[in-house]
Amino acid sequence: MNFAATLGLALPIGIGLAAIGSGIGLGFMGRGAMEAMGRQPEVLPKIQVAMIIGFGFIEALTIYAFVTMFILSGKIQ
Amino acid sequence: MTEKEPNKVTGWRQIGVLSAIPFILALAPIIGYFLGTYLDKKFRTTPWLSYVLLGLGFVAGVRETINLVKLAQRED
Amino acid sequence: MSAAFAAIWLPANPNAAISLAAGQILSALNFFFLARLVKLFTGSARMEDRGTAESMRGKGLLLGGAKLAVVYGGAFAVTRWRGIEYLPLMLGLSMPLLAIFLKSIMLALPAGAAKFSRRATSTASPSRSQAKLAASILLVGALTLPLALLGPARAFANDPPAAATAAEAGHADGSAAATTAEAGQGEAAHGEEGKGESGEAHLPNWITIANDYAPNNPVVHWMHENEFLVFAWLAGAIFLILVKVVMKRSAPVPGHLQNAIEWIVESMEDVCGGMLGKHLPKYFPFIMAIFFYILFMNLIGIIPGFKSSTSNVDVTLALALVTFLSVQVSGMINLGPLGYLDHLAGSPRDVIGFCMLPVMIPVHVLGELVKPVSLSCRLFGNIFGEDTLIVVFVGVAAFCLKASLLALAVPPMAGITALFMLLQTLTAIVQALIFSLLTTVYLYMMIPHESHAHEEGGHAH
Repeated sequence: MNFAATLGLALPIGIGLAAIGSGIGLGFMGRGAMEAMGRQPEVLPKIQVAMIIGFGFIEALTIYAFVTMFILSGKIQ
Repeated sequence: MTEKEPNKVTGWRQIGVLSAIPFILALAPIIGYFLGTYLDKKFRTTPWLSYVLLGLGFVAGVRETINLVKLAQRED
Repeated sequence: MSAAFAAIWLPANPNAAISLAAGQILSALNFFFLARLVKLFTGSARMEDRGTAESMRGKGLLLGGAKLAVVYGGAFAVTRWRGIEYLPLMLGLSMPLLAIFLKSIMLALPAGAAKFSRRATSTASPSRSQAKLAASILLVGALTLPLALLGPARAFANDPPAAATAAEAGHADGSAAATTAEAGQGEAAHGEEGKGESGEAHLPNWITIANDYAPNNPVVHWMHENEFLVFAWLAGAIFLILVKVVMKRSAPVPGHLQNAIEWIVESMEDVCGGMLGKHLPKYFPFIMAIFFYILFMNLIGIIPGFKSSTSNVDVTLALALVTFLSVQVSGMINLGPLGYLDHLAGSPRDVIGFCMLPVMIPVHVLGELVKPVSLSCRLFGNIFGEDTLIVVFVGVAAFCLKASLLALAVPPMAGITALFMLLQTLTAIVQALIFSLLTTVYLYMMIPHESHAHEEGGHAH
């Protein structure tokens, strides 16, 4: 098993794992935010802003994986 | 109606500004890394500058994120 | 118009011409029956004659049956015919769709604007927005220039390595990949929807088709190599003509088109005005020029046979570079050269600040660099993703059309594609909005703001 074959196997799996992880994280965060909004509708804007910031942090990890995949996929010849 | 109008605009602006966070957070270290490899090739200090700029890229990303969040939470 | 197209192709390629005409006729028949059906149901629902419900149902069934039989039967017959060519058929199908799409946009824009027209006309005089639009015309002209310079330069820079390593061309995004894929396919590019073997998938546009029919024409070849540039110019020209028309006919009581554009300008002014404050008149034309330019470049990709040039990384990078330069230059003008250096150094005020200087300068430079790159990456990613999605679905539909039994799956696939096109419209508008909004934010970070700096003491950002 040479380098290119290893990369070709690992890259799709890696990006899939990244998507799964960030999906789980987003799910937890969305659930928490929705529960908080339902419980206290009067602080809804604050919760929304915090939620979007958290989404941003989680999404950044996915973009890391994505960019890494693109960089490494250039090495498959 | 007229009371609510600026509020709505602010909300959309907040979402627009905050949705830039992941890109900035993710791309800052990567740009730092590439800049570092370029400078390494130029100055022949192969691994060092790229690592340093990678770390500085993290710092820059976090700093820009903090700026954006501060800006978004400010009310007009 | 359709007959003219068919007549142009008739001597060169009779099969293609017949396919085109068949597609057009089928699509027109489809829309005719659909319009009759919709008019039947909605029109009689509003009227109170319940007595004719029976006859209405009968008529509806008759019309629906006729539509099914004629249109889908026709489509099935056409696809079974030996000499069919799918590309002209698809083009013929899409041409009435294009007409209806443009008409609906023309109808929908004033309808959306009419709701807000009272507020718009009350808050600002039309002459002000006219002046801004004039300024933005000039700025769009100026904006096209660096694009024109930068696009071929980047394409030229991309070309030699792509020619050297053919495998690299699969991953290159620009015109190099398109040319190699086309060269590999040659004349027989009409078999599928222009799907290259190298995995680079894009729908055919007019330039590709023209290149297929006249491969040796130097003008067509140049246009084919720089098709993103051509479509960017086209978008700018459409915008210029539109605004020119609107401004020439500008009246105290605005018409449909003027109303729509003024509504867009006023609402953008609302969004940006709260942030920039008194600096708004200086930067607003630039922001609006960027907004309209990106919007038109995005929306032009929805029309069949055209391509949104923002799905190329070079174009978005050029746009972001223009934004970056304008932000930096405005920062230098607003803060002064020393103030700009001070901002870049993180405005040190004490001993710790000066000790952190060698760390803070690269951090700030990186922070300034990441802004345009993130802007361009986001715009490119969204538009390119939507385009690829639609291309994949159209490819599946075309594949189904080729197989015999799977042709039944074509109408649902076309419906799904239409839904994604709706999503693409939304994405186009939202991405243009976000690009201009973030430009505003970055400009805001660069201008001195007295009240804010007063609150936080020495910390300016």
